[in-house]
Amino acid sequence: MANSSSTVASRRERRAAERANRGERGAVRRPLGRRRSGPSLGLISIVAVAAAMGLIAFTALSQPRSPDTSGLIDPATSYPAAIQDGRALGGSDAPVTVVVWADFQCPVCARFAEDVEPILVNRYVTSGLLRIEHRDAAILGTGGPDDESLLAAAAARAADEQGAYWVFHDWLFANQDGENRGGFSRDRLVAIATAAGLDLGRFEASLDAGAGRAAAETDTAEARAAGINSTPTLEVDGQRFVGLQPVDQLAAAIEAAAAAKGVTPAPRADG
Amino acid sequence: MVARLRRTHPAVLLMALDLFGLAVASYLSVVELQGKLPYCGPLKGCEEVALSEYARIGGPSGLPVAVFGVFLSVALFALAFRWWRTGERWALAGHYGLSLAGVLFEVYFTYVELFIIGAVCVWCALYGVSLVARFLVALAVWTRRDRIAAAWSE
Repeated sequence: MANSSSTVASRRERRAAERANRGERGAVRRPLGRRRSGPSLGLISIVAVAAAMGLIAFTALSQPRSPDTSGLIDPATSYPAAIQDGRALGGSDAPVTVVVWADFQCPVCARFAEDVEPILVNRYVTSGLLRIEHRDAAILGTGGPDDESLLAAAAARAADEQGAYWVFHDWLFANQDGENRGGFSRDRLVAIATAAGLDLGRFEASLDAGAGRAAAETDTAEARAAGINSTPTLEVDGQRFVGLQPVDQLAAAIEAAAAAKGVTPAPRADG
Repeated sequence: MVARLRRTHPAVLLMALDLFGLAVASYLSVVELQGKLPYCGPLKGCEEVALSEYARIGGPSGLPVAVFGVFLSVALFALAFRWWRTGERWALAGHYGLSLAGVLFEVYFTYVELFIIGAVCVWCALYGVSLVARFLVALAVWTRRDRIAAAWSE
């Protein structure tokens, strides 16, 4: 066999010589098949499969559970992106502004959002005459960390950070479930956000950061300071309307406000 | 060329594949640990997969999957090197077993990409292909281990 002093040995021979110098059991590798001991292919495969299954199970179980979205109602409505401006609808240069003070737990606010607001949008916002701005008057909650009015308002602001305020707004009103009985608990809000197609990681991070809740509390304090203690309360260029108003009454106020600024509303397409 | 390949110890091929996998996993790990997104070029999906909660093991604050890919490739390279230098059968067996476990996890991760995330990361796919190749080579070598050992001990 190869000797360490060989000078013109092949690479293989040199390696064998090195092994011999290290005192291994023989100067050359023994054929692997001749060793009787050692793991079998089957045993190695079983261990490998078990290890892979363990890792897969750990990976799958460490993922956040998907919220249960069963039973949620899809509002199936959304305003065109072109008129959405954060928590407002319509351009900031619109001659007339309607400020809507609302609480997401308030059933009358839901009726306004579902029955009246779309008509105002269709008649006046799309034509550029009106801008509708939403403010939080989260007055129906019980206070404390689990105040569902504030939680819902904070959640809507978290959705706003993803440019999805109005989608989430519609989902919230479509999925009211009484007041202060878990309809807008954190878990259900996350489920609603999931159903609404929001980025859940961003949504939860924003919701838990607390900035949205603080902003909603500021809005609510401002509402209380302005004497607003009922929702919805609307202000058409400062003229206040409390409760759900007929569309025609609001339309008259909007057109009057526009006329006061020398703007004539375009003829209505809906007659 | 063919003759040269025949003269090459199969462990060298395994090590080359391990180094390729290590390079891919290292790139993804560095990018993800820096909080950046992998370069995807015209192929879409890397960003979506990287941003997914499934891109980390142990929950959202866990380690990126790619870091485990680095560990796996380093371990596989060490085993292939050991087998090459010593001919010890356990090293080849370890390479076979670890690459099999890696392939199975890769199958799971591909399922997650296709059916849960809805996007495929080309880097992950490259790593997966290298892993399957490593497993197949290790399996082929294992079944011919006697002949290989005899040839290299002559």
